[in-house]
Amino acid sequence: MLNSFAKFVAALLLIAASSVTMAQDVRYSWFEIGFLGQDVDRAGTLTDTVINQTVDVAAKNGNGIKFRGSVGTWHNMFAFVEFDSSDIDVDAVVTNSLGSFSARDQFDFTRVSGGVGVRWPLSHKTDIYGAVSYDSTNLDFGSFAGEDFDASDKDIGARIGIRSMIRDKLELRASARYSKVGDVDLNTGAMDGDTLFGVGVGYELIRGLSITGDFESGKFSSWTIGFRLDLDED
Amino acid sequence: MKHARIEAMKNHLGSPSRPTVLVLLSLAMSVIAPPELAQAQSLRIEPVVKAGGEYDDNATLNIRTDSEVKLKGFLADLRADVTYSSATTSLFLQPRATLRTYSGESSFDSNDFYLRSRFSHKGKSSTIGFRASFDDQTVRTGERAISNLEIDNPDEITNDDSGRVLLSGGRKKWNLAPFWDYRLSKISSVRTDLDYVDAQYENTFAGVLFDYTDVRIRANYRRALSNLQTAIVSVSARNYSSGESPGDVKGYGVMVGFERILSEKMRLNAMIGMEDTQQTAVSFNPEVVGNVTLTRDLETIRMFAQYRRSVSGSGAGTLAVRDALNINFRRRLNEKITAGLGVRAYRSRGTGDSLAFDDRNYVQLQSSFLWYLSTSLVVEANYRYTVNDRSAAIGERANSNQVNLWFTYQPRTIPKL
Repeated sequence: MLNSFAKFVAALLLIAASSVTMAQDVRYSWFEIGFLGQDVDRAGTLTDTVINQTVDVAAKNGNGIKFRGSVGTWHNMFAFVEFDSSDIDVDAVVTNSLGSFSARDQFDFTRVSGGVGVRWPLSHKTDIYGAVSYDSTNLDFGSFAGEDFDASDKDIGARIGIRSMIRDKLELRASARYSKVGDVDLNTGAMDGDTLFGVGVGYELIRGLSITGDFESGKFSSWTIGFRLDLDED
Repeated sequence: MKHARIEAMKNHLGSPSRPTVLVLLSLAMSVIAPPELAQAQSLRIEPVVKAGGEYDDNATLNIRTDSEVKLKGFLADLRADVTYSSATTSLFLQPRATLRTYSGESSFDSNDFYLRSRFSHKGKSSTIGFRASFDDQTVRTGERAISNLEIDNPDEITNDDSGRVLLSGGRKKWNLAPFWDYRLSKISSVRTDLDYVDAQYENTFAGVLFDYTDVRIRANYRRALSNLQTAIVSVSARNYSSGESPGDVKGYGVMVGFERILSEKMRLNAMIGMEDTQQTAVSFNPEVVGNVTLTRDLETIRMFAQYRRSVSGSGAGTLAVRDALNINFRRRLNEKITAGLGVRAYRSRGTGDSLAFDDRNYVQLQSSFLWYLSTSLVVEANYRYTVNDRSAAIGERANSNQVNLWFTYQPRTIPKL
């Protein structure tokens, strides 16, 4: 699975690097808002020995909203922020002296990231970039029969990527990022690191307005369809 | 004790009816406005009629998913923008009514009324003026911070919502902000302004929301360092009194900063300082306050982005330190379409060190599309996503999705973003 994904990304990068020269510049000043599909797919168990109760939860997937923005470039540097918020389906089984009961609910999954990056133009229409970030991941379950599965942490991250205007109105991009808060153990509530790989596309509908689609694969995979507004007039 | 006196005064004076308040304010403005207003050629009245629908999947931002209130209904928004400007005087007056009717949830029906005004008169070496507003609206909309893409001046964004929107009921709020700007020389000026806020809640909210008065007086000294940069020093004093707190909260602050013109269309303002607050027998730690504001006005783009850290008062009955981010961005994509994005996000915590019940993080994202069928007919689609995160205080958070579709008739509008 990972191998074929890597091939797909490599193909995308080759397309980007060999694209025509008449396209417009890659832009770094924009706001974007989109519909987010989020996969969490984590399970955990908590046991309370005092009341002899065990709660098993299985987080699945859900949807929400993604907002991101970028401002740049100054000396080829840019600043960015991302905010993901989604409601994730979760199944639970509560087992105690009264029996075994199943429950179904949703929990809140929030990810915030902000940082600065620098771009290196490969050509007039293709850039590679690197960035460092400060990431926050929060899973807010509320309470399942009194057991607390909430997990939250903040830590640093880094990413590299390539962006290319392969046509005047069409952008393709690919990226890899590492976040120290990219995974969670629901048995302990501890966060762990993860490397995620992403691809995306943007198509300019009207000057200044693009429709975008992105997919990111990792422990917390996600996809987004949104629209992007350029902050610059040209 | 002081509250008892305030209550006694309010009871003695009685609570003026809504029409009386609006008429009195309009009369006051027409008296204050200069006589040439009556013959002014540039007097402009711009009525705007909006009708539309709304859907909200968690209208009261309830933390329990099984108690969420889903509202679906019809809205009408009527307003008239009255503007006057001359070489020395400018006046803006906007009466507005927003009527909401929800199917199957009539207890959430509401009629909100607003009156907003701005006035300034420029003399030989000084400028006087004021900003005044009166809001009579339901708590569900009034105590929830709302991203408004029509606001051009970030200083007009209110900072006093409590986030307590579960109950139905009304709130009346006054805001009076007179100012006097005096030019000392070609490069320096002083400005004094007063910001008076008074909010009164219906009795339904006893024990939940509390009437309050927040008065702040401020003096600024501005000195131009060059054609592009101006230094600013500001001192302030405030008094916050609430039905909840045992005594008034007094505060004193000082800020320094600058305003810089980055380009013909872009301006940066940055201020930083401290504000010290104290209540009877209780002194809180001084808080760092400040703001950074970037405004950008291009031919087809209007944007401001502001980070503001302030000590804000609200109907929660206490002061809170608030780190807020406000972004308004609008772009005219072509002659027919305008798009916009808005962000209102803040982190609020009590002025003391202990965890307060109202500590929360709030985020509202708004996207907006306007389609101009003609100059006077506009279709507007809005989407708002709101998160009220009270994980730190009660371990829960709520979110809502709101969609609005408006049909706007503005027969005398001036085309704008």
